[in-house]
Amino acid sequence: MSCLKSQKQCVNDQEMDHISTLPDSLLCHILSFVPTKSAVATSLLSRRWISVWTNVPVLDFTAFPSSVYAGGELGTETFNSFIMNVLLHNDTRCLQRLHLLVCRRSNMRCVNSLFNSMSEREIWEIHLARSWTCDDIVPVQLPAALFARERLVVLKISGPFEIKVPLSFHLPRLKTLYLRYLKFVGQNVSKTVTADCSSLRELLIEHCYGLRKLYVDSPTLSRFTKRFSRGMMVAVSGPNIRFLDLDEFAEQYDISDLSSLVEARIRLSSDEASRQLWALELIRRISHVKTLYLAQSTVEVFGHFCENELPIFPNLTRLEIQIADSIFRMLEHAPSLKHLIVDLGVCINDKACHFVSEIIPQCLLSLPSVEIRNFRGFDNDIELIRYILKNATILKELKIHLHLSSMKDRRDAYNRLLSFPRVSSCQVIRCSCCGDS
Amino acid sequence: MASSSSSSLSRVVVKSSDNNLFVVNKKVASQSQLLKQCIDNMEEKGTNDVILIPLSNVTSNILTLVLEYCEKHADFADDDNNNQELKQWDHEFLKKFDYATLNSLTMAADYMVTKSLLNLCCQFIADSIKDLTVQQIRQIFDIKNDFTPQEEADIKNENAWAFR
Repeated sequence: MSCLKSQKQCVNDQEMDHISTLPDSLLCHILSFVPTKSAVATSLLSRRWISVWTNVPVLDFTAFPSSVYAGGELGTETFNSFIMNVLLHNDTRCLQRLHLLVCRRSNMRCVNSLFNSMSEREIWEIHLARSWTCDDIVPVQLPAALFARERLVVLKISGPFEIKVPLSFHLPRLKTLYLRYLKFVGQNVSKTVTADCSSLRELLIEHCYGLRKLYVDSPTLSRFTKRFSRGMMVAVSGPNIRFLDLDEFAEQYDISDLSSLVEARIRLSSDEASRQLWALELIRRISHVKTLYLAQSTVEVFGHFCENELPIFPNLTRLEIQIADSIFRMLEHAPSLKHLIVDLGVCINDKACHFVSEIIPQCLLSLPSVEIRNFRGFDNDIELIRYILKNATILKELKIHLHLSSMKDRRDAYNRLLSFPRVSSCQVIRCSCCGDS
Repeated sequence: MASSSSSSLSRVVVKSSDNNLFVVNKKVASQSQLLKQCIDNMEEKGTNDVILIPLSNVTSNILTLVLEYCEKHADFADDDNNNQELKQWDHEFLKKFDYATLNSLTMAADYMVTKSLLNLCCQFIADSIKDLTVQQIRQIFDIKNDFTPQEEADIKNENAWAFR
């Protein structure tokens, strides 16, 4: 390229530095990536910058003037006056994002008036969180008006907050909904709450409680995650769900359509739950996945039902599974398996060695890769590895994570495993576990 | 990276403000909404000529950089998740430039409607100012303080709520 010097794009270039020659729209775009506190500070740079920040289409209250962090009356007062003054100066009608970090309980009154005063503004993204360094972790109540914003595209709430849940929430444009550390309260908690979100792509519910039944019916939903959330019965109809992650804390899962599912992670609450018909139904619905994680309780479903009731997993290539009495019954249903990961870090019945069955699961004969996690040298652990080495004909690689504290124990265990007879020419690879060196 | 699309055009010629010509693959050019719009319009008219798109606001050294970015991103246009490598590349790409070049690149990305490059540049500049004091920002961007001491004190006073 022959050009030596960039052409001057502005007549003021001689006097003005480069960044100040950018048009307001671009300066606002740049400032939309910094906390509002930093954006306000640019008003002191030069005349050019005095009011640039007042048109930034993002309000990011994640950092505050230092006296907010000092606490007490002054802290609360500074928090309130900072937010209210920003709203007064920056009255952008359409906000791309509102991000708010609540520092302490006494800030909540201000948060409520913030949402009230913004009822006329259009907001696309709301991120609302409580700081973990705040004075207490008792949930504080959120305005229900959060669920009444029709233009909202992203809503991420991370408590501890209490929220009066509406019987149904109508957020037609919402694509992403994260609900974390929430306690649902109000008269509707014992009823069936319906999420009417016709554009939803991703739903995450984590550490939430108080709700009896949640019904999610979304033709667009692609990822659904429920973790550490107690006592909820969840009903889902999601023909477009590709990723599903369900925790062990629900009373029941009732899932009607999972025809697009690719990856699932399933935990059931107890052995009791794994005997229920809905659990069998759930296993059937997920049987065309490619990637699967099953917790111990879920594997037991394969022990409780008859062979002809259980589905085959024809597409399953990667299975991560916790050791369970019925582990080999499950493996019999996964003929295409290529990568098997067994976690030995949970206890099983004393006489559990009967997983070493005479019928060798078909998949063991065509399985190239096995990974064993949390090997602690118990009889069951050793028997499982002996069995795999003896029967997996085309095994290429067996990775073992040794969960043993002393170096000598690890070396002895490894040498012992190496001495087992192998039908394949596989490599036995020893990995150190997290937690030891 | 030959385009296999059924349409007649596979390449376009882009002209910089200092009259240098760049032959650009259509898939690469499509990373810029401005260029894509021009191509779409020409294709609608059913022309078979090579089209020339003049960019009166972009110098050739900046255009070279925009096209380098577009080329890399066109390679990754088809895979949606596996972009860790691309992110790394983006970061290394921007790290090389001084602020004057970054500014021109931001303007060009805006003008050529290359949204991801625009966001990348703005985020990069934002990251470099967000933890600095006013004095430090003036220094790294060479911003001249044109306030009188009295004016500066007045603004600080008026916005005291922001600086406590």
